[in-house]
This record gives sequence, C-alpha cells and structure tokens, in this order.
Amino acid sequence: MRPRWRSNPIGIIFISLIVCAVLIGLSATGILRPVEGIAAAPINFITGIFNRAQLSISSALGESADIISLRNRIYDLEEQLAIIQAENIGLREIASDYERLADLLSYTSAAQDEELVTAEVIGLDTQSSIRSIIINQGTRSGIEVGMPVVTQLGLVGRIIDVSANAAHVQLVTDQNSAISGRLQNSRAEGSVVGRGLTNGILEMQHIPVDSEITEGELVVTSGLGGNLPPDLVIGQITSYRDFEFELSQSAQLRSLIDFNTLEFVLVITNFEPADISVFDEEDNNGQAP
Amino acid sequence: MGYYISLPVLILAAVLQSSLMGQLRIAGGAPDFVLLIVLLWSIHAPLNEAVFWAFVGGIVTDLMSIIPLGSSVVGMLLMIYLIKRLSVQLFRINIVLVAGFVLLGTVIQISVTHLILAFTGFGLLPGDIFQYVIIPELFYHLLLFLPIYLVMRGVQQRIYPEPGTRL
Repeated sequence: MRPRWRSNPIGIIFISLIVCAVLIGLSATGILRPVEGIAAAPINFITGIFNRAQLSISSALGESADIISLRNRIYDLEEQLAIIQAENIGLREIASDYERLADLLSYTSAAQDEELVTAEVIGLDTQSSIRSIIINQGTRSGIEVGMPVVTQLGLVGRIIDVSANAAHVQLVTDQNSAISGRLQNSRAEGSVVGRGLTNGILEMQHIPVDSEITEGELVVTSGLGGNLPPDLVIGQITSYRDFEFELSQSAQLRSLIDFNTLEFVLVITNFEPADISVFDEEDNNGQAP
Repeated sequence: MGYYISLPVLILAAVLQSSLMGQLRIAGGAPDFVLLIVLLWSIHAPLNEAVFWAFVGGIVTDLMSIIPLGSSVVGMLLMIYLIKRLSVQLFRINIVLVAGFVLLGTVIQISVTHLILAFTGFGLLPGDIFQYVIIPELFYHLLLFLPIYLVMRGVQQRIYPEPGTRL
C-alpha cells in the first residue's frame, strides 16, 4: 500500500517545496558548493562544446565572402585602436601619477606585475535577467571569489562564484554590479553601475557637479573600496546629463567589449580584494551601548 | 520511460539556453527553454513524473546560473500544481488552454525566481522585471510553445498508449 502522501497531490507538492527550501538554504550558505561543482562539470563541458560551435556558426553565417576581409580589417583596426587607447590611458595615468608623486619625496612605484590566468567562456547565465558568464577555470587554477576579470580591451567583471573547474563572472553590465570609476581627464570619481537589463550599457552616477565631462572620454577603475585594481578600462562616455537642480551628474558609458561574443578572458589572480568588513564590525561594536 | 528521457532532454535545453542566450535576447529577455519543456510535458504527464521533470529541469538550470540550487524548481512546482488543479476541472485540453498555461506558468516562474533572487541579493525593480523580463519572455514562449508542445505530445503518445491527464 502506498503511503498516503504519495496519492495526495498537495502532499507531493508540499514535500517537494520543503526539499526545495532545504536545497536553497544549503546552496545559499555554500555548503553544497562542492556537490554543485561536481554536478555542473559534465554540463559545463557540453556547454563549452555548444558555445564554441555556436560562435563558429554565427560568425560563419554572418559573414559573406565579399565583406569578410573588410570586416576583419575593421575588427583589427578597432582592436588596435582599443589597445592603443588602453595603452594611452596607462601612459597618461603613469604620467599624471608621476607628476603628482614627483612632488612627494616618498615616491613609491604603484606598478605591480599582474599574474593572469586565461579562461575560456563556456556559457552564459541561464537566467535572462542576470548578466554573468561561466568560465572553464576554477579553484584548481587559483581562482577565488572577488578576483577581477579582464580582456585586453578592459574590465569584464568580477568572480562571484567558483567551483573546482568553473567560475561565474558577474559582468560589469549586470544590474547589481557597481564599481568605483574615475574619469580619465578630469579625474572625477563616481559609481559605475550596470544597465545590462534595461539598455545594455553602463551608467556612471554621482559625478561631482563641478567636474567637466567630455563625450568619448574613457572611464577607468579608481581602486576605491579595494574591490578592483585601479586603472582598468571600464568604458567610454557616450552621453551625459547635467541638470542644474541636481547635486551630481551622470553619464552613459559604452564598454569596448562585446559581451555576447566573448571567447577568452583573463583573471587577475594576484589581486586580493580588500576586506573592509572588519571596519563595519568595529563600527558596530563602537556604536553598541 | 518519461523519467529516463527527462535528463537528456532537459540538459540539452539548458545547454542551448546557455549557449544561445546572447543571440536570443530581445529587449533584455530571452526564452526559457527548460521552463517551456517542463510546463508542456507536465500538462499530460502524471503528477509524480511532472514533479520529477521540474526537479531535473530546475536543478540543471540552477547549476548554470549564480542563483541558489533549487530556486527554479519552486516556481515550476507551483506551476505544475496549478496546471493539475485546473486540468481535472476541464473536459479536454485545447491549444488555447495550453497557451493560457504557458502565460500563467511563465509569470509564476519569473515572479518566484526573482523573489528568491531578491532574498539572495540579486533583486531587481518590479517594473524592470515586468518590462524587461516578463514581457519579452512571454513573447518568446507564445511564439515557441506550439512546435515544442506538438513534439512533446508526440513523444508522450508513444510512451503512454492511452493519453490523458493522470493526477
């Protein structure tokens, strides 16, 4: 004889929902992470194969014989331009750093060699509202949560979840992404938030009202907050809004990276995000009666 | 038999979803193949089997996402329960009713998933969810449900010689 709950639809659904709640709780606390990593490994492998095939097919379909060379040339030039722009920023940053720091006797070089791990993009997040990618490197390659992910064109995002052989990268365009940014020319700082869901671009908010913004100006990471290294290219200003009655300005940004066709990324593994939570705890302790 | 084919079918659907997500986005949203397949399979499958499909589909989807494991299953279970409750009160299921189930199921799934996302720190504004997730996804699902339903129905008729909803 079957147990009573097995013939009762409400009982089946109720027990299933309890199982789900337990699963969600265990997963959210990270207890299931090793199991999830093992279970996701074969799926990630298949997804990687499909993703490569899909990228090859879409590029083959989209290019006719006549325009292929022209398009490649444009891509090459755009890539070179972006690389030169990125190098130019680096040089300008170094120059402006030098000018400021040369005035100080206690000059120390801020430059540090970056250790990079190359990873292949094997898929996108299955939730359409989340802008994240899955890469084929994980803890076995030294990848940890919080590490920055870049390409030669600039910042891609941050590692937010990692298993043994794979990791999820939250893209800068995700609605929940917020990065401290700095305008290259005026050096004004602001917060760059993702607008991937609404219009696929980035927005820099809280720019001081007296700062001068120019279209085409590049925005780089400021390093404030210690979550990301400074001077990584985030994007280029496409438009800005400056109303007299507002206390700050905001600007629309376009990333130099096409996130839909990303194939390879670099993870900066020797950057350790600063843990500022200790200050919060100290503050809380200080405020406690 | 329905239990055995769930794994390859739903893994393939999730893999396609992950690979094609970038190309299929319209106004921010994209089709949820796994949800659509689970929903359309559940209409004529026995309850236990539908619940199994929801677990397999939801977990495969969550493994390829940053949301906690099991989040996608909750919406699917609620959707299956409603479909089964409504199905027993109806004489026969026609294509208009299936379209209604697709609309209802999509809204339930997105709402529940984003509610869980909000609790885990990935919340979005309700207006944004409606405009950039629910509306594009409904458009896609209404466009895709008929061919997928016909395929699912064909497979089910081979598996179950006497079709019908069993609760």
